[in-house]
Amino acid sequence: MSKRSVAIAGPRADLDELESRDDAGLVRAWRRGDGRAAETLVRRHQKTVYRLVLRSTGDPSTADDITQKVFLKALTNLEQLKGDRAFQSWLMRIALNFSRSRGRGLSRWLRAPAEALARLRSESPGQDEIIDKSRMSQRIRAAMEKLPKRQQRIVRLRLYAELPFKSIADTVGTTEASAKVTYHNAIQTLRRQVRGRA
Amino acid sequence: MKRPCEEWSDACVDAAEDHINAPFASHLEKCDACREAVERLRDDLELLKPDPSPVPGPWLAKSIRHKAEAERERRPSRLLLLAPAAAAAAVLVILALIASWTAETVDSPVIAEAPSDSTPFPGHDILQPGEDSTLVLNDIWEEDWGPGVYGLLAGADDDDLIRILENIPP
Ligand SMILES: [Zn+2]
Repeated sequence: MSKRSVAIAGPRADLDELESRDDAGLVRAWRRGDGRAAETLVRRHQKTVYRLVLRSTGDPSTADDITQKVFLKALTNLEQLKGDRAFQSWLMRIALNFSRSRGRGLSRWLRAPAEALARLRSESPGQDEIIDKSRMSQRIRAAMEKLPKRQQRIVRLRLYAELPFKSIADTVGTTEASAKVTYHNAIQTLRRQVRGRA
Repeated sequence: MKRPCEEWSDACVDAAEDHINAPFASHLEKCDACREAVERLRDDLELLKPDPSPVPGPWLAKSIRHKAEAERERRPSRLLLLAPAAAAAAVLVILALIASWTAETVDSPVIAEAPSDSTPFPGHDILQPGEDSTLVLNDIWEEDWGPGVYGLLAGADDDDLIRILENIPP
């Protein structure tokens, strides 16, 4: 009887069953060789990783590529995920490192020369707002890079990845309250940098 | 500009994100500084808020899965690579136990110890040639190592990294 219902259930039910597992369960299944478990883990976390990567680097043309690399690192090196450490916090640490080192080079590359921007403005006046916005994003990214590392990580995980503070605390290894206090201080510093002395 | 009360600094963040809790709500009724701080934080977050992010295409998860499976096929299991080391460690422990037992029987103080882990930091011993340094870097932060060493590790290629890790103490 139970055998029959499993036979009828099919691949869709299998996928639903995988979706219902927590990360630790999926990690175990992937370790045993179930490729669908890996795919489910990616689908569960890809938006967060992608947001962090895209917004840190400011470069949509490399965001897919870096996101893939982050997941491949995580999925093919699971021996390094130790004990009860959460898959997500481990993944986000890899993502922070990947998008930071790439981001540095890119933000230099993104600083378009003034003449190029002026030309773009004159050619398409409607672009003004877009250019100002992108200038502001660059300014924020530049200010972000000047923050102390710990503040930088917390701000990027919150503003860019949009992670809840509980997960941020797990990723950087602190308490939720302390992550919020650090975040508050960092935002004050960013304001001074971005808005000028205020 | 008055400074907000330090003990409510985390609650200010919640309030700016519209998750105000009852004790802080009643504090706000009598504290101008915290009220101003929440307002300011709200403004700042509005300014700093990044543009909405597109979502990755539906192909991404499949593509990563296939690459991960291919990578797994290509590379021998790390467990297999580690197995000889584990076997060697087990032999050492058995030898040590025998030594300690023999020592006891001849009444001479020999301390048996399992081989200690002298790994500079977790993970490095299983880094194989052909991997880049980013994975190892997920377990170290710049402030733990100082910019010099971190920069060296971050910029090193695979073989360099293994060499550096062999030589630099933590
Ligand atoms: Zn107050």
